[in-house]
Amino acid sequence: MDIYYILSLVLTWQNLLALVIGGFAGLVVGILPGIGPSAGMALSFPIVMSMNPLTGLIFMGTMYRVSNYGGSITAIMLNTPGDASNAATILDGFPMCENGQSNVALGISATGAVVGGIFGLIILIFFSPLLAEFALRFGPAEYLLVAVFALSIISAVIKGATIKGLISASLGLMFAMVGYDVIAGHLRFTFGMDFLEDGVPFIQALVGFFAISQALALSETTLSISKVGKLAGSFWTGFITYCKHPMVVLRSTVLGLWFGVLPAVGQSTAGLVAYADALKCSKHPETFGKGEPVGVIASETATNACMPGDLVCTIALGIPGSVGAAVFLSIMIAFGVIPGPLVFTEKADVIYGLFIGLILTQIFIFIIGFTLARYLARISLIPNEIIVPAVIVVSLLGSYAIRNMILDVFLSVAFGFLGFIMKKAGFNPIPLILGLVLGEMVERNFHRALMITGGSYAIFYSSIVCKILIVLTILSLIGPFLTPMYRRATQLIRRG
Amino acid sequence: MTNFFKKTETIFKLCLLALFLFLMWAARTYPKNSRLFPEILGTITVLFIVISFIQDFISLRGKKEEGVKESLPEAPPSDILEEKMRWMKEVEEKAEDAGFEVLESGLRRKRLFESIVIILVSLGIGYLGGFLLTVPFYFIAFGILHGQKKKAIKYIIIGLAVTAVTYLSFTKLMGVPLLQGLWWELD
Repeated sequence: MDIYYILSLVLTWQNLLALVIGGFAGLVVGILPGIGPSAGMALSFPIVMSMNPLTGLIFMGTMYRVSNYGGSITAIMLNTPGDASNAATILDGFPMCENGQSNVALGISATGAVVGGIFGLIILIFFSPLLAEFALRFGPAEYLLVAVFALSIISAVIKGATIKGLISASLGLMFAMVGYDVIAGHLRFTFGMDFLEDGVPFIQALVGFFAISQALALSETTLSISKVGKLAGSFWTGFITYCKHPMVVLRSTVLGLWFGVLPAVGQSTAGLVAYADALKCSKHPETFGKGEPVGVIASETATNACMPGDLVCTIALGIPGSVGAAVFLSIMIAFGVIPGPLVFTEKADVIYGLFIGLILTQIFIFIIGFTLARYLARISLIPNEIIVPAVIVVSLLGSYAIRNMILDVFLSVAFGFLGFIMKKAGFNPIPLILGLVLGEMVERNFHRALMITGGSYAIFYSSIVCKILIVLTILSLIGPFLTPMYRRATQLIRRG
Repeated sequence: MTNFFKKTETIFKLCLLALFLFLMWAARTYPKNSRLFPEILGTITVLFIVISFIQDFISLRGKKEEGVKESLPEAPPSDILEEKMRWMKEVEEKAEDAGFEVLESGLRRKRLFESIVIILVSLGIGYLGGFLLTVPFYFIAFGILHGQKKKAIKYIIIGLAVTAVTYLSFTKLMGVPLLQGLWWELD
């Protein structure tokens, strides 16, 4: 690979213009709750098809990347992630916003996007063939257990309500079973409703559970999202705060890369696992969930480091790690860049050009964060009687635009009411969303594993990776109960 | 007993229990491979719900044994609303500016009820009149009911402006069709 040749291919005015326009488009679709990268890329597809493959993929890659950052802005400001990948950012990002620290949170988010993204991309440019080969060694049992681990850890992270988190995740898995069965092709749980035959639509569910339910919660209160009525801190405070936690950044980057390389696990899992890791390693775990900057650092760094890994699996194996990556995969195929192990040699100029384009995107994100974050932060000061209808309108527009079906709008509203009731009942909808995303993968790998062994369940605990994952899952579930016992025991020992 | 078993939480758990039992019952007619996973998942979830009820019961007994049932000033919040209210009160005490207020539960319920009615009515308006009528309706309804009535003109202008901007950006710039509505389709 000749780096100068690749650079000369990337640094043309057409590619740079595509990067800037794609970046702004990504920011808009990311900020608009419920639209997200997948819908945004799908909407831009007709425009991009007239471009050459590298320019088109840089446009789409930048849109995908920046929309992720845009999603973290809405997660912080509106408690509404643009995509499931921003779910972990909500846990502390929104409380920071409520405390008037939205500028700081946005600074952390932009720095996390740049550091996680660049670090991830540089490592993956050099190590992607090795990582892709290692991920290929995972069998169906391992994939199933990784998904179960992801669901258990998010359930454990939700404030002291592990069982409720697991129930919520199970509900998500059950929703994922609606429609055609992944193995036998049999229709399940549609009860005669044709629009459910393709399954519970993910974006519409996301819109309902986060945007509509959040709008309902906001409508209960007066004034604005920022309850203290003013904004404290600055973008640079966020940048400095980020730089003060190098170990959190390092651990989150490694976790993000690892989860990115595992096909079909995705950014949401990476962010949540990194958040859980930061929580467990913190000296002040009680501050998490109340606006702890370290929580935002961990989730944003891991999510952004995950994205390059996610793309490696998408490009090298043809297995997307997220809904957005799945759309990106179809766009690559449309451009004649067929994913597979040979793509790194046959289409090296396009693939490595795309990687360099994505590195430039990180700089674009930082500039956007630095220049626009303070204005974006003002969203939290808009009165609720304006922001609530705006959130509902944009969300329902996004919900309708995907399939042009009014039933999708009804479905989003229904999910919104369900999400609101769940919150009132003390159930967090984030595990549900993760269950919905991973449901198909879990069931498919469950059946594949049983097919390999002729129906024996021994495959789920036979390999060393399976055993490690089982132990980690158990630890993540009993951890919340053991930690207080450990603290009590330590206190008793200290008192003698 | 009802003081400890939160009403919303208990009703929701019972609904979930009924839902999962119903889905397991509905899956009984599916082929073996299609029903295996829903049945396993359903059984595990029912178990989780039962464990959750047991947890609540143990928590109740623990409190009774400690003899703090009535005198306990700050019960650990199992309801997000309670937790949020307590947090809001703490922030209110710390806030330098009188920039926010805690609403009484009655008023909160009223505002929530109004929001639900607005959303449900908007679905009907959207179905009949499409996007062009729904968007201004949202802004005007929320503005007048949850904002200040004297600013009604402002809400109307915002509603119309958002409608125009969204219409132009979606249909003209991005080429995305918006909800048309039955009335306009008939024309």
